[in-house]
Amino acid sequence: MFLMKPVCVLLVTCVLHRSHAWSVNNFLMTGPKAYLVYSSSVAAGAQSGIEECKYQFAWDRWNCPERALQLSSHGGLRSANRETAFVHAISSAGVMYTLTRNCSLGDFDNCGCDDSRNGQLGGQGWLWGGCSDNVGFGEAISKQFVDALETGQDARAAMNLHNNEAGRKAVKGTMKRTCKCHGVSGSCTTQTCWLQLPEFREVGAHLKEKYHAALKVDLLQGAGNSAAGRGAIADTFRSISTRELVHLEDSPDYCLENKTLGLLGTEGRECLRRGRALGRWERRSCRRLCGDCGLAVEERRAETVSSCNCKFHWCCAVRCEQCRRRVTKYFCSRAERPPRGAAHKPGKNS
Amino acid sequence: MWVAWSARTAALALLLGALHGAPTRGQEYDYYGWQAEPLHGRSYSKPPQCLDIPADLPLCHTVGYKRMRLPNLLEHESLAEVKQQASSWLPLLAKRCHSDTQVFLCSLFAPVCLDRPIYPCRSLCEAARAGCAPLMEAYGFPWPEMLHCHKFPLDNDLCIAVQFGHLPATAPPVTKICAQCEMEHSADGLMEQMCSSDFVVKMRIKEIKIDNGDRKLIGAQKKKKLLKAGPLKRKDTKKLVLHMKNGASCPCPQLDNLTGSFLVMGRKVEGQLLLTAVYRWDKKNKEMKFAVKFMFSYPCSLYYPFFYGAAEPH
Repeated sequence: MFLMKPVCVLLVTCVLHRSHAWSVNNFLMTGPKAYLVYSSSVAAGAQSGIEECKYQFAWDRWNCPERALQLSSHGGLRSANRETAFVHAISSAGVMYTLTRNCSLGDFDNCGCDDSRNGQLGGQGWLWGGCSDNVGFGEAISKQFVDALETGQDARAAMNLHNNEAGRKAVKGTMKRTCKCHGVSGSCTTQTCWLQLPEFREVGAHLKEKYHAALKVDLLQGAGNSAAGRGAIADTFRSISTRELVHLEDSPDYCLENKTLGLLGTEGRECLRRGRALGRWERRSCRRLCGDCGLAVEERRAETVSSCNCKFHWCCAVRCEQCRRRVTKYFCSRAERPPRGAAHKPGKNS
Repeated sequence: MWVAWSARTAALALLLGALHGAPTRGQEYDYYGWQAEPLHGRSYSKPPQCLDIPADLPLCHTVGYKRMRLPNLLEHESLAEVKQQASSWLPLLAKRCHSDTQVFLCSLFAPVCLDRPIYPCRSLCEAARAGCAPLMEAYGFPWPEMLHCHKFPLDNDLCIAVQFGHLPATAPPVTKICAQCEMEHSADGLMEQMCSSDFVVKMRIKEIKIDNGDRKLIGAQKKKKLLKAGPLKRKDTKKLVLHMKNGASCPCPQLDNLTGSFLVMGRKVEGQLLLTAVYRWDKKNKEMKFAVKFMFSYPCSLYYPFFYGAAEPH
């Protein structure tokens, strides 16, 4: 135990000041105890990234299927398209977010609040103080674990590392300042402010927008295998902001089943048509999943049972009735086959 | 101390204000789990726990349920914090200013543990405030911002409504004695009152005037002895005028006859002297003599002032 703390402290220091010492710390960081301290948070973080991916793409043709999410230890996902970019970014973001949050919750002995700015004037009438989330810590450990999966030297590895970094930048970019008022009788003459993580959903929504605006990188065919080629790859990626997602390939047609790629197609998928709370993207899901894919929309009636008329009774229980409700659900079906529109662009509208 | 209180109160006000919208949706019976709520500002936190209400949380130990949720609905995160904050409210509970005071306070300090948070209804808050705010004002304390009733949901099936306030009175109503005139009889009780008062003075009363809802006790020039000075300066004692807040229309047996001396306790609030307790001076009363003699030996810090933020312990 005595040896572990200096190592961890040293690591954080190295991250902030001396990145050239990575090779030594890579070895030390993979010591068994340090690995065990963080690995459960890393796994939970990656899982939260997957769940966010499923939420963000629930009504897309590509809906974050299980097979696409298996990050291998041999250079990452096989494909290098826009969806791969999102998966890497959201997983990296999930790991960083979870580590940072668990640090603030006191789960780790060797990290705490980021109080580097405490006491400084932040703006007119407010000071830095309180407990800022230690996002530098989460970033450092996340980078250590997630980027270690990229052992290749090719364009695919460079792309994945770039998108991992974009995920981490998304977490930092969505942090928000929160303040508390001081002053006589609760007035706001003075405030203390700190930085804290947003809801992880905000990170997911941010990256979804980046996904739609992802940049395709064109590299000369065959350039990846030579020393000069690796230099060209590095130069190309260096010229792109790490706030943006990048990909190398176009996406396949997600309308169709493709066993080779592990795609199920949109036949049989549920879609949404009516509902007061539906957003624009959800309301158009039937057209996107069914109509534009040459499938019809099939209505199915169902009955659901849920709690209703809940009442609190003293003392003390909440009792509810069980209400049956008829609902209509919509699915993509092969029943008819209207011709597909010529304007269909599989890569842009998944 | 006061600044910290104000900051906390302001934070609670902001937080509860932000939460106000959520309980209203209960009328549509939307389910909102604990995880969905932005407790204490962060969007994540350790999951709420269910705990037994401990015996050393006397404010809520007898409230009628046995398990409470932590963090509570006042942003207290540990039992130690709950106990420390709740203790300030025990004296108010003892005054029995409303039959649902405990139900209301404990719905926030030690909220019932269910799969969703249950807030007090606005009507419960308003009933407790109507009964207890005048008493608090008599001692110089406003109804605190963290209990402002607009923070709580309009009455619906999923909030805690008035429970005992509807019960018919079992006895004909009797005009209640002024709060400042309720008498402690033991030396300990007297010393406790002295702890929660800023000053203690033996004095004669020249006359009493009615001023809106208050009584004003005008001190006589002679035979005045400052037993505990507190914030009073010598010039303050030249002409003592003590305000008996909300004391115009309630009976006070001690003041029926103004001859002789009185033992008077009070607080200084915004330049005004508020009466907190008045006794007829009785040199044969051994308890009173003991209390006056050993007032400064009493371990005030072991007892909480009437309300949090009152006189600093000496």
